Amino acid sequence: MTLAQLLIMLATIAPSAQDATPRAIPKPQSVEKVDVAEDGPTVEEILNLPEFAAPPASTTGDYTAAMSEAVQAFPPYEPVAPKWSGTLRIMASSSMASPLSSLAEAFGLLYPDARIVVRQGGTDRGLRAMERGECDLVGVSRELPPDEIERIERATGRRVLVVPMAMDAVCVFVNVDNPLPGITREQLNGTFSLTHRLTKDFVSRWNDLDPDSPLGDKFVPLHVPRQTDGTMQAFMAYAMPGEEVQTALRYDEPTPSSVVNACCAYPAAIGIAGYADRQPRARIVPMSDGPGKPFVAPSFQTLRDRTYPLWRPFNLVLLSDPAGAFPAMTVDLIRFILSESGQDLCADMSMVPVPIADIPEEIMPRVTTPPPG
Amino acid sequence: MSIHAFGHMRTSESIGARGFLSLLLLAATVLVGAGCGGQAKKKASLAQQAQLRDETMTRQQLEELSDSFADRYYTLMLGASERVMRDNPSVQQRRIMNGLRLLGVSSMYDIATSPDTLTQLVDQIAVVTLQNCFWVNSGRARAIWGDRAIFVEQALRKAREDAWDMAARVFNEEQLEDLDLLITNWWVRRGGTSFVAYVRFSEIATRKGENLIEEVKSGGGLLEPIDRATEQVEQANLALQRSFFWAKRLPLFANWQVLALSYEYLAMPEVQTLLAKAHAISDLVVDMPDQIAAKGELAKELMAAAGQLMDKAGPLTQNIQSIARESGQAMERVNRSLELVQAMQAAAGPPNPAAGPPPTLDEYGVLLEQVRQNLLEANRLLETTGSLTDQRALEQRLKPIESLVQMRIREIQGATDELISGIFVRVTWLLIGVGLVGGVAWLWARGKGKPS
Repeated sequence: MTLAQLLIMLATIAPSAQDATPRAIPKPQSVEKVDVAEDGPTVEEILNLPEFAAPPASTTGDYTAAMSEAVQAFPPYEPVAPKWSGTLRIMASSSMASPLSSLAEAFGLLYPDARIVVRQGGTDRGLRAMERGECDLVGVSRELPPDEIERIERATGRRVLVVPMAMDAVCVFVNVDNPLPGITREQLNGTFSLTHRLTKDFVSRWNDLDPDSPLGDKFVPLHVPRQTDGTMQAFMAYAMPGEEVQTALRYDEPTPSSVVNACCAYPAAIGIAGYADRQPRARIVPMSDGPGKPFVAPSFQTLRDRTYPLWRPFNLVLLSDPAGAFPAMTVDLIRFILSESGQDLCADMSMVPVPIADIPEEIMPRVTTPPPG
Repeated sequence: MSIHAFGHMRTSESIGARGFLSLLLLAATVLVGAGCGGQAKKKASLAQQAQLRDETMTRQQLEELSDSFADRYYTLMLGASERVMRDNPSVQQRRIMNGLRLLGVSSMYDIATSPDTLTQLVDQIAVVTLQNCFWVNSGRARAIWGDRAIFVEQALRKAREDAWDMAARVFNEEQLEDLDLLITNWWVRRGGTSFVAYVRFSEIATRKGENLIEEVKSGGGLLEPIDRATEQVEQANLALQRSFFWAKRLPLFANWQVLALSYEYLAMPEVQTLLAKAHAISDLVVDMPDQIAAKGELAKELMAAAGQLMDKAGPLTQNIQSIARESGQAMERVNRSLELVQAMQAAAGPPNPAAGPPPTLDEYGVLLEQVRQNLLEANRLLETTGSLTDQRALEQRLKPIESLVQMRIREIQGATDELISGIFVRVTWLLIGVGLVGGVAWLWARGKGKPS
């Protein structure tokens, strides 16, 4: 850019330099004003708006009184007298890795000599790693069926303990400006499935989903996590059992956070991610189990009463030692997670606390009673 | 019966001879096939090695990727910012947009010219991912630019896609997930920060992050490991390239700094007050003719008042004009600096500026000095490396490589010899076998042909 060009540019950005010169008669057409004294917020004010304040990752301000009450139902955590030391290895599903890292970090503040390593490896990979003895605790973002528990117990010769940590949901995300009122299971099948066996209506454009959509006949680009991801597996099991994912206009995203980011940036995007991944610029579409059934959006209430069709538990899975006892430090970490402090952190990270009544009686004494150090 | 039997015997005999020949052919096929099979296996193995070699990436390739990503980021931000700023009446919106592109682009070029190739990659990933969290996901872009935000949102998103695609060529799936986890965790803890463009992976990385980098550097990912002997030469070459890279691109966004300065002037409270007063005066003067016509006698008084106001407005206007003049002078300084950079480029070489915040106009001279120093350093490094080639030190460093290469050649020769001798032995045995069988068949046929 030459100096002359710059001066021209400066002249355009500061029009008042000429316009401010008093001109009396005749009356000018208009005087362009530089909006330095705009009524709106300043940059600094915008950047510091309360809704952008930490924690910014996914919280949308739904830490309600009911949530608070649910958190307070958990017992307080009492640290054990001799401090824990040593290493504890956790492998978690992509949805659980970040919250477990934060929980582990909080636990680590109480026990500085304890080193907790959290890796994000997916549910299935985590379980396999546990069977091979490569990790001590697995974060599993789905139900663990009895036959799978039995298989692991047979393979390892050890007892398996499954502890619910929080509740989450598999959600369909769109851009916040997309007014799609709801989506049925059949429509999901028609949109995401290659063979769409549950419906005859193949969905490729927005007006196939919603005739009133302002996106009209724009194509529906699908942003999905990898098919090894627990979230995607749960979605496929629900919306397209035994079918392949559509290949046209499909974008395989490296992580669920990337899915939601795509929905934030692209007005026509649709994606699959977890409830805890939500962001202000992406909207979760209410879901219906089928024609005639109500559309339900995921929330604290609909997850707790299981009316949202695609709710799922966040479970922690661990193995006993050969004698049948569970490792004390791992159990104590679980005790911390299922304490008021731990569940408060979970709620902060957009997860819904599990109803305390859902925690098996076998586990509650472990949770409430501090183990011998 | 006997004739029949004989005939039968003849028939069996001919079948037996054919079967025998078939077996012989089969054996030969198996023997030759075994050789070919071995060859095929070796070919497959070589193909696998070639594929692996194709999948791994050298530092030079990664460096080029990183540079091209920085350029791509520049074009994305340039396109988005032009759309946001064009015909935009809001100075604030233009100011923030200019700030975002200036910080983002200078940060990206800063990363692309930082000393370590792999760190460049993870820094670029961290910055674009965090920028997406900060500007796109949170809705900040929308709050600031309204409908025009879509250009910024999509540009940042595309940058993120490119960065992660690039990462997938160096990190394996598990390492990518770890990388994402590190960035996400940092964002959850520190997301309130408003200066994400200058966050570096070293800030984000815990011990796990450092291990991740080391793992990839030592060949645990898809990056080709480098041996220490060639590292110095490669580093020198890369330093030189980075210097050229930086020197060529600095002028691209230097103008944005001047623009940022202009916006800062306009945003100053004193200037805002001046402009507000100027507008008020201007409005009043604009309305004056109507009032004169309406109010008759009062007009003279008002005209006198208007004259006084105009007298006061004059100096205000001069103040505003002086801002433009000062900005013009700043531009002259930049132009002079750019000429200096161009002269340096023509003279020889380049720079590798240390990581830091984007250079301001006041720091421009310092930056150029850094550029010059880096140039000299790169040259010195090259000279040192060049002189080493005549010395024993480098010869000694190269010796293990040479002996390794020779060992490989010997291995290949040995394997080839073995293969050839194997084939020779097989062919010899095959010929002997054929000869023996032929001889026996001939003898047998001859024996049968003799009258009993």
